[in-house]
Amino acid sequence: MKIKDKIEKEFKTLDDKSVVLLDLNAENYFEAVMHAVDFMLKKGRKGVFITVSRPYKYILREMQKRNIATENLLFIDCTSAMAGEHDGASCTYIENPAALEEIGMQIGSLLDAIKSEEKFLIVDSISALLIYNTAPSIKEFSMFLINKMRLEGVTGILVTIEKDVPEDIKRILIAMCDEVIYV
Amino acid sequence: MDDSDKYTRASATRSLGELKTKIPFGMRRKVVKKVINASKDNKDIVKHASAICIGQLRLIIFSEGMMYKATERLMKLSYDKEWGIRGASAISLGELKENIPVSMRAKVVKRMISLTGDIDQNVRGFAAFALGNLKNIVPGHMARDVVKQLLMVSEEVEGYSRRYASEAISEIKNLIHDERQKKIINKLLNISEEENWTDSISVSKSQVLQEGALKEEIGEIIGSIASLTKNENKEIRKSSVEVLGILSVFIPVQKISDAADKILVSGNDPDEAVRASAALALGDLILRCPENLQIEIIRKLLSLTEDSALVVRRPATYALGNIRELPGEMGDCVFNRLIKLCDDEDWYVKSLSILNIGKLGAIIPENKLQIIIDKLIFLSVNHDKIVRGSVAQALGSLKDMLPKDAGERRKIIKIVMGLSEDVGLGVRASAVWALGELKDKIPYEMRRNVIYRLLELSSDSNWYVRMHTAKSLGKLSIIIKGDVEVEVVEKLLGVTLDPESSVRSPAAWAIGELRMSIPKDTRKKVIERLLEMGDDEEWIVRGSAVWAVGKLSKVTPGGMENKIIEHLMKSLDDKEWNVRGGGIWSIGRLKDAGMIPELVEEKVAGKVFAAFSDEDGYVRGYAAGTIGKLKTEVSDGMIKDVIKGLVELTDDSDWNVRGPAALTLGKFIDRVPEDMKGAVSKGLLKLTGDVEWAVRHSAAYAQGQLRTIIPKDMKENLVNSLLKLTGDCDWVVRDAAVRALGGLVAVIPKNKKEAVSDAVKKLSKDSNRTVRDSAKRSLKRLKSIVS
Repeated sequence: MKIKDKIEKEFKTLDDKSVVLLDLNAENYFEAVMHAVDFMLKKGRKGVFITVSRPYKYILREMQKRNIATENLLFIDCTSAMAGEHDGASCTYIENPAALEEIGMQIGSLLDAIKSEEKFLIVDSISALLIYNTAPSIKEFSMFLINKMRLEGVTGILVTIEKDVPEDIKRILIAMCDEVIYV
Repeated sequence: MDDSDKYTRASATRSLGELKTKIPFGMRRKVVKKVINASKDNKDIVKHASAICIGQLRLIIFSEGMMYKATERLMKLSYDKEWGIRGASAISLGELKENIPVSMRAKVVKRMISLTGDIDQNVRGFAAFALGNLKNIVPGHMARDVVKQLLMVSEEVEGYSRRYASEAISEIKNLIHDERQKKIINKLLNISEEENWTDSISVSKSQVLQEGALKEEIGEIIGSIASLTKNENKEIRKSSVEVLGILSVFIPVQKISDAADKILVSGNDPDEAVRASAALALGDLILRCPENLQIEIIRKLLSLTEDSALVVRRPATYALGNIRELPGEMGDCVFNRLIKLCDDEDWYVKSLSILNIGKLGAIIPENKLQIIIDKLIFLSVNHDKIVRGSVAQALGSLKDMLPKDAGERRKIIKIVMGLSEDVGLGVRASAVWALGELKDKIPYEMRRNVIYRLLELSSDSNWYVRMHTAKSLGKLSIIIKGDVEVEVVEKLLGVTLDPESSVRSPAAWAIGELRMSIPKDTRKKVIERLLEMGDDEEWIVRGSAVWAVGKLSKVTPGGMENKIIEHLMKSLDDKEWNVRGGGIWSIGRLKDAGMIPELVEEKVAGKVFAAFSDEDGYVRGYAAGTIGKLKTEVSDGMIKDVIKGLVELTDDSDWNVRGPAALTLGKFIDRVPEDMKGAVSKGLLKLTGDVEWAVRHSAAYAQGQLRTIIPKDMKENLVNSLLKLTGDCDWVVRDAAVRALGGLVAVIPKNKKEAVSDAVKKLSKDSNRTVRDSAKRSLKRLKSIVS
């Protein structure tokens, strides 16, 4: 089955406002993330995309190449500022991917800014955040995000790369999320 | 990776990093080469991706035998002008761990240590993180530096981290050849290790200072250490200067000037490490110098803060914080320089100078205050979190110096309120602390907002912020008024259930501070919660709760006495001294509030008396003091034992016990059995020569009470003792002594009347007003003997 079909099949069966753990094979990873976002946007949702490994400008271009309508998407770029990049109309740059509190605050304010009952949040990826942060702080941050999404009725997608996340964090994520999708 | 677009190249690099071992064997070498080459890309975003990717691909790089090359590239990137690239290279070097070639390990660790002092806070954090990862490859000789550096990064706002004095002492000890001096320096080395000396302040708190002989012995070797400051070996010069500063408390007054000269000369040493030691030593010495020398030292420190070497500017800036008084015209120079240092390119110098402004708040010249406040306001939006945190701390420390103008104060509070919402954890915590410090300086119309802000922060995601919030709510108790009282109490009650003991404990403390602000209908609930907290698994929480129960004794609703006493009695059996001490203190407060139920009075007194033999000095001290409050509860059957116990406690090695024991004996004078009058008098008289003023003060008061029981043959001793105390260097002691003499008219022997008269007359002209007033009142009481 194609990656796109697999994503669509799994996402169609999800309840509204679920929090999903998307555990991806490193080889399919980027494609799968693109399809997941596309699916959400096509369902009429508006959302926030947090990127930790690729620059916002690259992702935007890749989405445009794939005809993904990005006008309903806001970005948080956690990595480009480290290399001196700061400007982008619909993107908020985080100075440092280790500044989890700042990421949390920006997520809050961007979600507030979206005027829709159908919001979603995608974190690309927990694996990349682990490069810059300790495992306990990522554990705490993930808990914070999952609780926030539930409290605010936001659909959540947490992306991990298969075998790239310590077992204890993976176990907690699986336990806390409503669904785990392996692609 | 050869694309013309930089984002494509960067993303391709990151994708390779994510693939890790999924990269086919046949392609690995090529991939590694490409990734390493990407680190030379002319676009920062690609270099950054390459730095991260090298860490992700460490296993492949290692198996391809290209680790030397990769480590070398990362080392190069660690010097990049872009902070993100330095940070990324630190992360990846940390990831490489044991894969780093042996020949490069020391170099990598050294670079990481140096990056923990990077100008950018994010890089400092990543370097500290990397050092943690590299723990298993740190060469033995570098382990201490790594630990020290990590401690420094974790507490960087707190101040300057100095090495242990024992390190410098051991470096120079072999150069002391005289046999007697060798013994002394070895002794010194042992003590400095035991007591963890780092600066002259820690030395001045040392127990050895109590021993006059040892102090003299150490004074003897100062000359030998001073001569080493001219040694040809720069390491010896550095260590001897450092030791000279640390040991400055042992330098006899007449030799201070010689030592200062030596250190001042070292401030011009061609070696920067020696100049850095001189800066620290001058900071130590300034605390002990006469005014003319202080001016010279301050001038030298000011010039050292302009040194081109960062390793000198940092300690010199830190040392300026040791200034206690500013002689005459130096005020402007010091503060002008500190203001300028706030703009230093180095984050640490900047932060230290801001903290110094807070430390030296009381001596800021009036004409500089507005400039300083404007500077701090400007720095409150600095990009560096450490700087913003230091600003919050400085503004809190300047609480007594803030402008009277309400508009200006409003501006300052707004800034601190803004900082309390900062993304930086340390900044938020410092701002919360500052709001607590500013308490009644907060303009009326802003108080409500400040309190609500703190109530909000008491649910902060971080325990450190919640802890400071609870403390600040307690400090703000004096401005918590009206309808907000209910909300504060309810919130704090919620905080007492916090999962962190470091938060529950200050919450209990804060509730105790609220006292009358606790609404009447909530008081029972509050006390009950505090009693529950007395059973908390953490002693720090039990202690705060027990103390808070005592503080609330006067607002405790009737009918709770038995329950409270039962809990407090239980706390006296706690394994922690702080809980036992708090329990005893609170029993005393309950007695003041008339809340000790009659039926248990004797039992309570017995339990407190039993604490006379507690292993902890503070507990014995509280027991000695509290039994004085429970005088009527001590039964006739117990009195002899209690008096005997108190006399024994006047011999206690801890002055915190001797003082309260003397005071309580004074209170018990009318219950001293006939056959113990001599022992009690003797016990109190011997305290006249006590080293602690607080004990001499209590002794003076208690000796005044001896008039009704003093045996005939000791009357002259009593008067002699009080006469001696009237000449005490501490005015509080002189005051108590002169008041005591005023009540002794009936027991002053004829041959002492003139001396008493002269002494009291002399004190009526004392430099202290309270002493003069007390002397005048005593003169009236002694009119029958005053000539």
